[in-house]
This record gives sequence, structure tokens and C-alpha cells, in this order.
Amino acid sequence: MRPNDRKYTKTHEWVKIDGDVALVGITDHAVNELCSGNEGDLVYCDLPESGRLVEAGESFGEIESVKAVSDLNAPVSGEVLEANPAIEDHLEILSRDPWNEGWMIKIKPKSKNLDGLMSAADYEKFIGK
Amino acid sequence: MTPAGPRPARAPSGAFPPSRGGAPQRRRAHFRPPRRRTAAPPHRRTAARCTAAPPATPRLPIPAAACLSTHPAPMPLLPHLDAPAGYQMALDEACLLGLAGELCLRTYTFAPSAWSLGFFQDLADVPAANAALSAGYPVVRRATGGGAIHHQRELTFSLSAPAAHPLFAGPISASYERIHHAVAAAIHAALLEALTHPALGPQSLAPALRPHLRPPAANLPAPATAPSPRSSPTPPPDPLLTLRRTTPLASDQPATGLCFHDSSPLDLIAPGPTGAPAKLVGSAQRRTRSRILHHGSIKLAPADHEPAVATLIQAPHLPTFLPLLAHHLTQTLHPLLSPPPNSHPPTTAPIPPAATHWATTRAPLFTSPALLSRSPSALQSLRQADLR
Repeated sequence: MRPNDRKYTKTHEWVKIDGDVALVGITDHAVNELCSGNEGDLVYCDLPESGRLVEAGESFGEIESVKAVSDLNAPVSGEVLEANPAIEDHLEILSRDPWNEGWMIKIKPKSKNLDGLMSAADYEKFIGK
Repeated sequence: MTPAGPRPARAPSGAFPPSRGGAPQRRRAHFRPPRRRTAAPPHRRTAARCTAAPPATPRLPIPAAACLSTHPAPMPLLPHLDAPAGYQMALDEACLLGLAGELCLRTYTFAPSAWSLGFFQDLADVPAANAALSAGYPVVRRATGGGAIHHQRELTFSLSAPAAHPLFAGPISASYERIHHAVAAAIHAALLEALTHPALGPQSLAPALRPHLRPPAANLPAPATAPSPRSSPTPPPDPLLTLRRTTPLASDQPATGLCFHDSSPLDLIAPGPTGAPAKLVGSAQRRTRSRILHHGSIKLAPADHEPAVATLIQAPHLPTFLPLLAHHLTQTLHPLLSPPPNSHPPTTAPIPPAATHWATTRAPLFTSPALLSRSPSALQSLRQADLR
């Protein structure tokens, strides 16, 4: 069972509201699709600087596995407060702990309403497991 | 990646769209050396040293859902295009955006020959491309990942489809297997046809391939120009064309930044100039929230900067062989996107005006110094194209 303290997108990002901040990352399913269980296949990640405004659904960065560049999409609109400085040099974090250590960006959301996103149970139905 | 609902069509502005929020600075990950470009990660180095026989190659069939197409509209082929690098990349962007149709398949060549960088690559990490740019040769940045390619004596193909298309179901590696098995079948069919072609013949083929090819009547698989909709394309016999898996390659070289000097287990390989296995096809994908673009580059004849890679034909015969291969490639890949009987045999149609307009307008971006240096504004322009 995936964490139910957050919501999920159909593009395999998660968002967790923590006070006035929205933490954003990608799911274990996304990581597996990118690298098929081989964490060394994740080779590059480009995350935004703080201060950038993002719209829900907009790409806020890219992640490259050995064979594909995939967009990272913002689950909510708002201002990027911080990017996880550990990610770019230690992409294996995403395989090891995508839910906590593997957060990618913090956003100051325009709204804390996440009603349009999926619960953990709905997300698991969506991906079929 | 999923569609965000219908979006209103809008003509491109012609200039870089203004970045949002006034602070689009990006963390410049390329300031540090790309880890895979300069040194293969430990598991890859281990694989490269492995001398054991590769495991039996499991055939990955197209999932049943892929054979029961959810895209019943006929999919025309886009015409083969010989054009400048910036235009080709912009037209592929149009395909990625769906401006050339929901499903796109095309082959193309670069005129003049050019270099392309992977989406994340730093120009400084590709010495040969950097030198070429300084000498006035065109260099372009792809939307797809991977290493740099010298587009000389090669054939490029691209296919794009919604992210939910069955061809791209499951892990990225699964889509590579499906596509590469089809590409292998197409190349094999083209080589067999070349054997008996009046203007080609066995002596036209790359010497390392000849021992592995016999006239069609004596060969095991028939040319896979019309694979069954319910089975994967017939693969050629090993070791002519196969997936690399754990095979060490003669073409692998460190620190060049070139796609054909690096390899992964799913790369398509063939006997190289020395007869030892070498990379033959370079591939990469771009996955946006709603669509996927797959690039492939097939080396046809020996080129200046990649002497150790596998090739198919002797250079003087390239003009005859290239259209033959392009034909087999499109005929074999087409059913993966649009299975029969929806649109078989496939027919060629003109590029839709919206895609042509987009490509014409956006072509300068892909060769611009701003994008080659991965400036924040240029990258933002690429991202915002998907939000048009």
C-alpha cells in the first residue's frame, strides 16, 4: 500500500501538503518504469531553481533514464520554494525512498485543495496494482 | 503521462515564448560531468567485461491490447524527408505535439550532414561535435535523451503516439524491445532484398555481414514486410542482428559523448568492421505528459567519427540501399502503431500544413546557441510548447 497521506497524479507524481508547503516527488511505479528496477539506469535529473512559478500539469523539470527523457509535471500550481539538492548527484535515492528522502521540490501552493488528484487506493487501481 | 484534455490549437509565435514567473533559472545539472557519458555506472562496466554467452533472448510479443488497436483511424506515413537538422527536429517536435496526426511514423536524413546532442548533453562533453560546430558544421539539440550522433551516412526514423498507446505500455525497456525487434526484422528484410537487387548484390553489403546472409530462399525468416497483427515481427537469426544484452561491444569507447560509443542492454547490434559485435542502431525517447517520441538512428555506411560501429552497406551503394531500407522500416513499424486491417498497406500522405508551419517556424530554435548551451529561456520554450 502506498502512503495515503498524499495525493497522486496520472503522470505518477505525488504531492503531500505539509503546513503551507506542498512536497512533490515521483512514485515508486514511475521509478520502476524508468529503470526497470536497475537504479543505475537513472542518469540525470534537472530540477528548477527556487522562485519559479509553475502551473498544475506543467513540466517543472526532466529526468533521464538510460533510454528516455521524461517530463516531471507539477501536481499543483504555485511557487517553487526549494529543490532537493541531494537528488541530482544521488539519483539512487529515488529507488531507495521515493516517498521521503526522494522528494524533488517544495512548492508554495496557490491552493491546498487536492480534490482533482487521486488517493493512494485510486492510484493503485489506476496503475493496476 | 496523460492528456490534459483538448487544447486549443494556436500557431507558434515564432519567437521564444516569454518564460513564466520571471525567474526561470534552472539548476544547471550539466555543470558537472554527465555521469553516464564519461564513465559507465558500475553495473554497466560489469556487463561490458562479461564474457559469458548472453542469455537466451526472450521474445517480447506485442501485448494483446496492442493488436486490438484503440486507434482505428488510418495512419498515413509521412514522406521521407532529406532536410536540415533544425527542420527535422522541429518537425519531430510537431509530431510529439500531435500536429502531424495522432500517430506519426517517418524516416529522414540530414542535409547537410549534422551532429545532434542528447537533451541533457553539454556540448563540451562531446569533443567531436564541439569541434564540428567551431568549424561551421550544423549542430542541433534533440528533444530525446542519450548521446550525440553524427548524422552522416545514416537513416533516422521517428515514431510518436499518445502515451497510452499499447506500443508504449509498461516499462520503457518493454517498448524498446518491441520496437527493436521490428527494426531488426526490417533491416534483415532490406539486406535480403539487397542480396538479389540488380544494382546491389552481396558485394555491396558490409563485409562483416556477408557470412551471415544467404539468398532469401535459403534463409529462415521471410522478409517481415507484413507481420501478423497478432504476433511480433519475425526476428532475424542471431548473431546478425540482436539485442546487446550482456555482449561486450567493439564500438564502446569512453568519454566521447557519442551515442554509438556507449551502449545499453537493449541496443540493437550487428557484426562490426572487425566481425566483433558493435552497435548498429542508436535510440532514445522523449516522454511528455501526453505523448511519446521515439528516435532511432541506423548506421548505413562507415562514417568519419564512428569507425568501429556496425554498418550495413558499402558507401557507394548507399543511394540505392537507403530508400530500400526506409521502405522496409516503415512497412514493418507501421503495424506496431496502427495494426492491420486499419490501414494496411500503409500509404504516404503529405505532411499536414500545421506541422509544416510549426517546423518552419521552430527550426531555428533547435540549432540556436541558446538551446545548444541549454539556456533557461530556450529550455522553457521547449517545455511550454506542450502547453500551447
